[in-house]
Amino acid sequence: MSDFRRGYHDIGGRPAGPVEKTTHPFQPWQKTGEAIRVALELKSRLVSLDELRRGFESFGPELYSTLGFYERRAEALTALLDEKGVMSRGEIGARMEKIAAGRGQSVDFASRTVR
Amino acid sequence: MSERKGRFVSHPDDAVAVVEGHAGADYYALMTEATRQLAIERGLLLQSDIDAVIAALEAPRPEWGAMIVARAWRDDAYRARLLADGSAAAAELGFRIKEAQLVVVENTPTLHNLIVCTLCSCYPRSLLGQPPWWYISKSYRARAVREPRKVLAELGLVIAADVELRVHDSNADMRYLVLPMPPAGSEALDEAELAAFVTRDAMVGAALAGSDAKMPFGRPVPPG
Amino acid sequence: MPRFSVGDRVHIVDLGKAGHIRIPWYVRHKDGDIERYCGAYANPEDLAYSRRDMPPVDLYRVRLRQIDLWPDYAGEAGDTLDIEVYDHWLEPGGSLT
Repeated sequence: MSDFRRGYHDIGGRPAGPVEKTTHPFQPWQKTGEAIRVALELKSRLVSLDELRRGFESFGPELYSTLGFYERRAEALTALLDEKGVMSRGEIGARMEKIAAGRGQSVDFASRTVR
Repeated sequence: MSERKGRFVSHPDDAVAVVEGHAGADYYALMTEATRQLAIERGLLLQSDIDAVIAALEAPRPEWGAMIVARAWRDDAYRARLLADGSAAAAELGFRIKEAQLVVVENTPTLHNLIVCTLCSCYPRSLLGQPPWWYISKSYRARAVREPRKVLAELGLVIAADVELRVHDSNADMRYLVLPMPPAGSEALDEAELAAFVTRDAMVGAALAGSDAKMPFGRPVPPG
Repeated sequence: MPRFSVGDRVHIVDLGKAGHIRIPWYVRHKDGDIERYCGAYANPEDLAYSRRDMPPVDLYRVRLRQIDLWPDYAGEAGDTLDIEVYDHWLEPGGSLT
């Protein structure tokens, strides 16, 4: 049924639920995530916006439908840093576990949760 | 697949509803912190690099766009320049639109403009700040191009049948700002008073100026 | 010199490319009119793969009628949609209207 040439992010015209006029504040981690990407681009031309877009257009429809806007961008940034050999997903994951342990928490990578 | 087909081409997936989804915020907050630590430890970034970008992200706000709109309402020559070259006219007031070219589209008694980005969520962030939640939602991205009158009604704005509704899908190197119509009865007000009627949503085309001007804007401050 | 002028009828093609593309599915195979020439810009299809030194491509805004985009469009017949399209996704259009 799907045409492989239509990206799963290419949703213009598809049916969807009501548009809700709720507001959510711009979270500190969301700002930091945007800032890391922009700063890496400004300083070293490491991650252009189009590369980031390619990142969330290629990590698969399941993740795309599960994640929100800023979560998609964080996932895409990790994928790109890994692809470019800047820092591997494994290194980022190990650091996530270390930070979580310091807070008495653990990371479940399969379900993308921290508890 | 380049040959012309009929007037309508089937759109695979058009019957499949878009899933909204907001999972994993804690997980991605932790991932972002891990990335930040590693980037600094490896000398890719200084914390001050990150802080400088955060400051630049936090500075823009709807009041900046409102200053441009209010000037255009009071100065016909400025309005003409704004519609001809949005970026240059914004720069006249000290606003640099960094991410792309600014295109300003004007509402009239017979035309209403609405901005969306179906592919991601392009928005004039360096002028208006971060977009509202509904703008980045998949529901808005998916539906605003196909049933814009219904979406606007859900957002509280009914467009009369004799008004043309024009949707702008912001998908590449342009960013868009709607120049709303001034509210009735505002003829005697000065620019700063007028700017208080111009909400963020009015500059996206999701509201009329003055109709829901609830934000306590105060006097707009130019960029530092 | 840009290939098209304001008011020209154009047809948006489907290049069938994979990868990062900024031309949404719903406007492919559709006809519209050139609304303005936007200038020449680096092609996102290159930028997405770190190819930063390719020649810029012409970008236009194309105006389409909503009733030409959606068979079941429920708005008014005069409603329109404007979208940016790179030159290589356009061909001279139209005998449809």
